[in-house]
Amino acid sequence: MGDDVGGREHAGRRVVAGLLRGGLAAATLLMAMGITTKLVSADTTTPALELNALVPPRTPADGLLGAGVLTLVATPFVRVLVLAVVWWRAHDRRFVLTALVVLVLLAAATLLGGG
Amino acid sequence: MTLDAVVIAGLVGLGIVAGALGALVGIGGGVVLVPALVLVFGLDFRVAVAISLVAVIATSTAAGSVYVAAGQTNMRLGMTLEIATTAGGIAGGLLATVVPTTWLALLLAGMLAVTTVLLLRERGTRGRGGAARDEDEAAEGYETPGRLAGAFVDARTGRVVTYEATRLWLGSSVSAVAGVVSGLLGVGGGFLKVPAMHLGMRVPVKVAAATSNFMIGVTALSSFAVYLARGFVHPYPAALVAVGVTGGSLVGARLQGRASPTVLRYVLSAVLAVVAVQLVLRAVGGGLDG
Repeated sequence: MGDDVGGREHAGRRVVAGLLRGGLAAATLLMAMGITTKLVSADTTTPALELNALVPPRTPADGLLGAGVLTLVATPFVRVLVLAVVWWRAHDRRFVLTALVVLVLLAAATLLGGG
Repeated sequence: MTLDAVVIAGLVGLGIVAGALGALVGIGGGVVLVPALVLVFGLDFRVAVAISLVAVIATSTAAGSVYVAAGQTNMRLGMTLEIATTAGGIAGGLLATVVPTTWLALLLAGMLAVTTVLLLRERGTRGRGGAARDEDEAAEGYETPGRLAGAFVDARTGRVVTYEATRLWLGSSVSAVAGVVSGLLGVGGGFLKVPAMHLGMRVPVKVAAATSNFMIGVTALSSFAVYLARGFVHPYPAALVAVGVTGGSLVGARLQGRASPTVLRYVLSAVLAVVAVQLVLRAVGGGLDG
């Protein structure tokens, strides 16, 4: 591999690894804050996560918890998106298309699940 | 479920155990989490699966960052197989909403039995697809742009190992099945994908394990979307378990080398066998209907 290509590949890996670390850290922080907020309140119920009930959330704890879980599960989705951009910049069209197909499938999962 | 100190401690503790076992013996947390959430905490089977999927995403994200940074993951191969595994995950998630709970429990019991046999047959000191697997041997690697190929430096021998994946159809087929299983039962499916990549596609086992770990986050996400849309996601127990799993993975990674993997495998095999029998008894007795 040439230095240019090798450097781009290395940079791409660093971006993805950083994204995964950052996503996990942000999600863990939000979930920990949500759990703590829940514990200091008198509310001991554990409602199901409903996206349309998050804005505005029923309680601050519900909002933090929901945001934490959604941040965690959004991280792999964003990872696919970021790789599509990384490969686009590297002119690796075949894998840009592959990433886009995965993104379409993930979007379809939400639509099919609600059907 | 009502949150009290016992439940909170139990869920975090369960997550820690599942995460640590994943790191120490290389099994995904789902095979431990789902039965425990159903049998001990009395949760609905599908709610337990949704919680397990969140834990799988946490595990994949935590371990993925390490493997990607080390260049052990072939992200192009992972993304290519994700097409099949995502489609499978959607199918599994949709199937789980129509298949009776009793059947799902029996299927999980069968998978526990298979996992027990695989654990007992495992040679060496490590399992497959664990969260912290091989970090001590991590070495810089790279993938070849435009192809499903790459190389890495074997830390033990110092040699550069090159590879190119073959029989994509085989890897995709097995990945699709792994996706269905993941969506139905809330497991990562690494026990199917790693052998398919290593034995079927001729990818080195180290790269296969890292790439499988990278993939399971997206696989779990595809099923999770279905469970979320159907109202099976309960964020409080999911968050408690996910935080525990993340911490447990770190604990397990630190315990590597100190705990005996062989003893752990035998103990875990015995536990899984008992849990499988319990699941069958509860399923046949109608105690899981819902």
